[in-house]
Amino acid sequence: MKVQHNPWIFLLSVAFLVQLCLALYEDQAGKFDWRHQYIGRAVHATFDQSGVQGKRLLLSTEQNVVAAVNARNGQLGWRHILEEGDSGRIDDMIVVNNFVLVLCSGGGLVRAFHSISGSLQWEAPVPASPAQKRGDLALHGGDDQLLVLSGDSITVLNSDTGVEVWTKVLSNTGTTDYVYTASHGNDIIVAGISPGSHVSKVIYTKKGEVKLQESFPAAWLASQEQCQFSKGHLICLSQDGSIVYHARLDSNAASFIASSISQYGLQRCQQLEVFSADTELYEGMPIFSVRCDTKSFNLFIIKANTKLELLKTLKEVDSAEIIQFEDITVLVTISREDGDKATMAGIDLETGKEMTELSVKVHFPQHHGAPNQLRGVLFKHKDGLIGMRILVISEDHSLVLYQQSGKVLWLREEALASIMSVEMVDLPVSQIMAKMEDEFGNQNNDLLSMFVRRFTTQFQQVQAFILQLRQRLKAVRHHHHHHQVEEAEVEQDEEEEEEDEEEYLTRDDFNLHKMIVAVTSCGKIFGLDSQNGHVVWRLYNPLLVPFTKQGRSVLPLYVHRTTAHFPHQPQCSILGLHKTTRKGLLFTFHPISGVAEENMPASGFELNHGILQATLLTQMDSEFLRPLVVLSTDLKYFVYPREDTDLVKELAPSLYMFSSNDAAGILQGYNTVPTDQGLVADVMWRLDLKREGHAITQVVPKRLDERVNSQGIVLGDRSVMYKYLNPNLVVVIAEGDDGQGKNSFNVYLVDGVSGRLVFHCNHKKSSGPINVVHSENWVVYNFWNQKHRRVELAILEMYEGKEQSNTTDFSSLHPPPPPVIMRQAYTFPGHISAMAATITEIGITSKHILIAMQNGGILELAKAFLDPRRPENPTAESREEGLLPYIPELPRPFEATINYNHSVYNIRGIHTVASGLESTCLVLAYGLDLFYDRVMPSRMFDVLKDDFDYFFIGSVVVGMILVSLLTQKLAARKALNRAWK
Amino acid sequence: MSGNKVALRSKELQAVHRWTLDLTSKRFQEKPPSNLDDPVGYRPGCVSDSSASQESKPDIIVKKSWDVALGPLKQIPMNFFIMWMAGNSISIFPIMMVGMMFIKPIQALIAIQQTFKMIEGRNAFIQRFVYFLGNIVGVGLAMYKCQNMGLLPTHASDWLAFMEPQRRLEWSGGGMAF
Repeated sequence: MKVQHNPWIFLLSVAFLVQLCLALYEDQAGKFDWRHQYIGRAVHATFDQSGVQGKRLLLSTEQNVVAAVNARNGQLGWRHILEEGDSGRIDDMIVVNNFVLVLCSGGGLVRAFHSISGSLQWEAPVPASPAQKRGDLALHGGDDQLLVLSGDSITVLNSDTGVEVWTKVLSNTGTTDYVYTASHGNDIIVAGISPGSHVSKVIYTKKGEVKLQESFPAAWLASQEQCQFSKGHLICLSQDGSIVYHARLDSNAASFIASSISQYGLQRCQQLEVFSADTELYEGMPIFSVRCDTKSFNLFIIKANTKLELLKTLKEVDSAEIIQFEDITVLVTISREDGDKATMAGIDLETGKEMTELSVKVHFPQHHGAPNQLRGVLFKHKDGLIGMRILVISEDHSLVLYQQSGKVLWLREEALASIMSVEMVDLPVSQIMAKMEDEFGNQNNDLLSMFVRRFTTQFQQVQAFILQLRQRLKAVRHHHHHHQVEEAEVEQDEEEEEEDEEEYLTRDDFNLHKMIVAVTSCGKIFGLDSQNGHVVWRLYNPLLVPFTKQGRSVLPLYVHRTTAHFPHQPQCSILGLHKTTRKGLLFTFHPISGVAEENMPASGFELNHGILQATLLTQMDSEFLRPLVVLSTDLKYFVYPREDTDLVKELAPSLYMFSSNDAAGILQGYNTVPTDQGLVADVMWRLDLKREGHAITQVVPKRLDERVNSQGIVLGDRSVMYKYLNPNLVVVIAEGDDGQGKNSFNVYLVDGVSGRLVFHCNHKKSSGPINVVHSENWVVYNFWNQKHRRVELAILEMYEGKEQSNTTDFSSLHPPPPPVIMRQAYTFPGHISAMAATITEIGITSKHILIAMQNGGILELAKAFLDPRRPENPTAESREEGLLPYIPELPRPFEATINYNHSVYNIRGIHTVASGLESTCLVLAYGLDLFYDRVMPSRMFDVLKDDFDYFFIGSVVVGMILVSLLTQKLAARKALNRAWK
Repeated sequence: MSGNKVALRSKELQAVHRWTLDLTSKRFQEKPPSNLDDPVGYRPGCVSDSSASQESKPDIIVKKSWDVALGPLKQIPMNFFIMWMAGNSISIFPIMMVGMMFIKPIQALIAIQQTFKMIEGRNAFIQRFVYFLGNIVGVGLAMYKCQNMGLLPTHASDWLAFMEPQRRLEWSGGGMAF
C-alpha cells in the first residue's frame, strides 16, 4: 500500500519543522550588536542660520548624503542617503529659508529638504549632466528663484515650491563646460570654460531672453581646476603660479586682466580659493587666496576698479574662512603646530588686526592630517562678548567642532564611512596568563625556580580574580547609584575606564572580544573595540593611498602575526600606493596598541616598484611571522620581512601566483624561480577570457583561514559524496555586453596553480552587480536577470564523486578527475549589496549566508536553502537527507534580519570571523554605516543560554540534595523503630 | 548387647548431643528388614523394573542434552517474529529488543563452560557445537537486525568523521591586479 502524501501538508510540515532561523528577543537588542551611522567625507557644510544660530550643521558629502548634525553634541539630526553612484552625486548645496537645496545633476534632480525636520519638501527634474561636468546652483531675485545649471541647460525654479519658471538650452559646440551661474541684479550670468581656447558667457534677462552672448580668448587656460568663480568674477591662476587672471563677467565685452603677483614678492603660487564676504564694504568685490612657495597664505581682493589688492599675508595657514557677523568680517585661520596642537586666529579684515578674543591654541592631533576646510559661526553672548564655533574638516575626513575656548565639543570620524579592508585581531591574554605561557617557553630553568614562579603566578591569578570580583560588585552598586546622579559624573567614569583599559583589552574566556582593525580610503587606520565600536587607537598615514583601477580600489590589510605567540608581538601591515611616487608602500603596525613599527620610516617602507600582486604565506617563519610575498609589475618577488627571503626560496617550488589583467580580460599564472638576482616570476599559463568583449571584474579565491570539517556529504543511501576541495580554486567573473545592449557574464572556476579551467558557465541577459561567496566546495553569486527583471542567486557545488582519488594530498598539478558540478538558481526578493558566508573555528557549525540588502537589512539565510540538490519531487531518500523541496523563491523572513530595525546602508562588505566558540561567528558589515553582531548558525549549542535560570536550577539541585539527606535520616530511623518492634 | 552398643555410642556422643540415632551405622545396614512381608496390596512387578530403567539412562542424558543444545536455535523463529514486529525505526522499544537479542546469546556464550558441563553423553561434541552455533546464529540475527536498522558502521559515511583533510601541496595567491 502506498501512502498518498499531500504536497502542501508536507511543505507546511517542513516549514514548521525546519526552524533554521532564530529571531532575537526584544531584550537582546543592542546586547551584542552595535551600529554606527556616518555621513562620509563632507564637501559642503553650512551652519543652519534659521532659528537659533549655529544649532545645526547642514552637510552634504562625497557619499551622496545630505545630513543635519547637532552642533552641540555631533549627533545626527537627520540623514538622507541619495542614490548610489553618479545619479546621486551632489554637485552643489545651498541653504536658504529653512530649506536645504541640493543639486544631483547626475540624476538630474534638485531636491529641497526642510532643514529642521529633514523632510523632502519638493523635488524638481532638471537636465542631467555627466560625471565630469559639475552643475551649479545660485539664488536669484531675492532668494525667490533658484538658478540651476546642469548639463547644457539653465533652469530657473521657484525656490519655495520647485515649480519651473523657465529653462533654456545653452548653445554649445561641444568643448565648453558650463560650470558657473550667478545672479547679477536682474540678469543671470552663465559661464563656461573651453580649456585651451576660450571662456564663454551668456547673460539672460529675468524672463529668460538672451541679453548677451560672447566668448573671450583664454589660450593659457589648461584645465577647469585653475579657475574659481565669485561674485560675477572669474578668477584664474596661471599654471606656473605667477599670474592671476580675472574677468568681470557681468560687463559687456569682458576680457581677462592679467596681474603678475611677483610684484608682491610671491612665486609659484597654487591652491586658489575664493571666499564670500557679503557685507556692504565688500559688495561686488571678490576675495580670494593663494598659497605660495614659502607656504604663505595671501589674501587678495579685486576692487571695483578691477585692481588687485593684497589684503593680508599670513605665514603657514592650513585653512581659512571668512565669517561675517553683524558688521564685523573676520578671517579665521587654523595652522598646525608640532605636538598635537594647532593655533586658531581671528583677524578683523577691516582693521587687519588680530582679535585676541578669537585667537586660541587648540588640541588638534596629528592623526587628523591637514585641516582642509573651516566653517564657523559667530554669535553674541548675553554679556555682549562675541562667541565662536568653528568646524574643521580635515584631510582624514574627520569633523571637529571647536568652541571659542578651544575646547573640542565633538569629533566625528567620518573616515569610517569609507573602510577599505577589515581584520579582527584577537586581544592578547592578560599579563598573568602571559607569564604562565612564558613558563612553557623557557626550558632551561631549574625545578625550584619554576615551582616558585608557578606558585607566584597562580597566587597573582587568585588575587586578580578577587579584585575583579570586588570591582564587579562595586560596578553593580555604582550602576544603581548612577541612575540618580548628574552627567558630570559620566566624564569621571570615562576617566576611570581609561585607567582600566590595560586590563580591559585582554582576551575573554571565549575570545569574543576582539580588536577590529579598519583601513580607510584616506589612509587612516582605526582600532575599534568590538564590544561597542569605540575607537581605541588611530593612525594616519597621509601618503598611503589605495590602488585604484577602473573605479575599483583596494587597500589590502595583512595580519603577519596574531597575538597567539606571546613573547612575539602581533603585527599587521597595509600595502598601498605612495601618494606622490605611485609606487608600492608598505605600512606596518601593532594591531592592538596602534603603534607603527619601530624600524620603519614614518611613511612606511617604499618598495620602489609598481605592485602587481601580493599574498600572505600561510607558513610561518621561526618567529611565527607569516611573510608577505609581493610581486612587482616587472615580475620580481619581494618578501617582507626581508629576512624571510630564504624561507620563501625554500618554498618556491610550491609557490604560485596569479593575476588578472583586467582590461585585456586575461588571467595569468606565475611560478616562483629562485635566481641569483633574487626570486623571479615566470609566466606559466595564460587564460584568455575576453570573449564577446568581456572583461574580468572579479577574481575570488577561498579564504585562507577557513577550515572544512567534513570531507564529504552523506547521501540518503548512506554513501558518501566527496567534496571537491581544491584549495587553489578561484572564481573569475567576466562581465560585458555584446554591443547591442544585451549584457551577459561568464563564471569561470580556474585552478590558480595550473590554470586549468574546472568549470565555465554563461549567464545571458544578466548583469551585475555580482557578489560572490566562495567557500568550501561551493560558490554562491547573485546577479540581475534582465529578462525576468529579478535578482537571482545561483549556487554551484563541486563534488569529486563517490570515490576520492587521493585521500591524503591535494595537488593541482596532478589533479583529481573533473568534479561533478551541481547548480541551481533561485530568485531573491530584494537587491543585494554585499554577501558573505559565516565562518567558525573548526567548521562543524553549518554555514549561513549573510546578505546585506539595499533596503538596509542584513539577512541571515541558511545555506540549506541554497542547495543545488533540492529536489523538485521529494523522495524518501531526499527527505532522509533533510533536503528541502525545491521552491524557486528564497524566503526572506523578517525575523532572520540580524540588524532588526537598525538599518545600515550602502554596505560594501561583510567581514566574518570565528570566535573561540564553535557556535559563534562575529560579523562586521561596513559601508556608509557599521554594524557588528554575533551570529550562531546552528544556535548556541556550546554555552548555556543567556536566560538560563541558574537560580532555579541551583535551588532545585540543592533542594534535591537536602531532601535525599533528610529521607536517608528518616529511613534509618524508621528501620530502627521497626527493629525494636 | 546392641542396647549397650547404642548406649556406648550415645555416651561417646554425649558431649555433642543428648541422643543420636545413627541410621547409617552398620547395624541397620547389615540387617535390612527384608524378612518382613510385603505390605497389603503390594504386588511385585507393579513398580518399574529397576534393571530396565538402568538400561535407558544414557538415552535420557542424550535427550536432555539435545534439549539444552537446541534451546538457542529454537528461539530463533520467535526472535524473527519479534524483530519483524519491532520494525526498523530507531526508537526506544526496538532498541531494547535488539539489546535483549544481543545480551541473551552473548551471556550464554560467556557461560558456555557451565552449559557444556550439563551436556554429556555420546553426542556431547556435536551437541556442544550445535549449542554454540545456536548462540552464534542468535548474535548474527541481532547483527542482521542492527544492519537493517542501520546501526552498523558498514558504510563509508560512518567513517567520514575520521577522515583527515587533504594536505595541500601547492600554494597559490593572487587576485585582481592591483
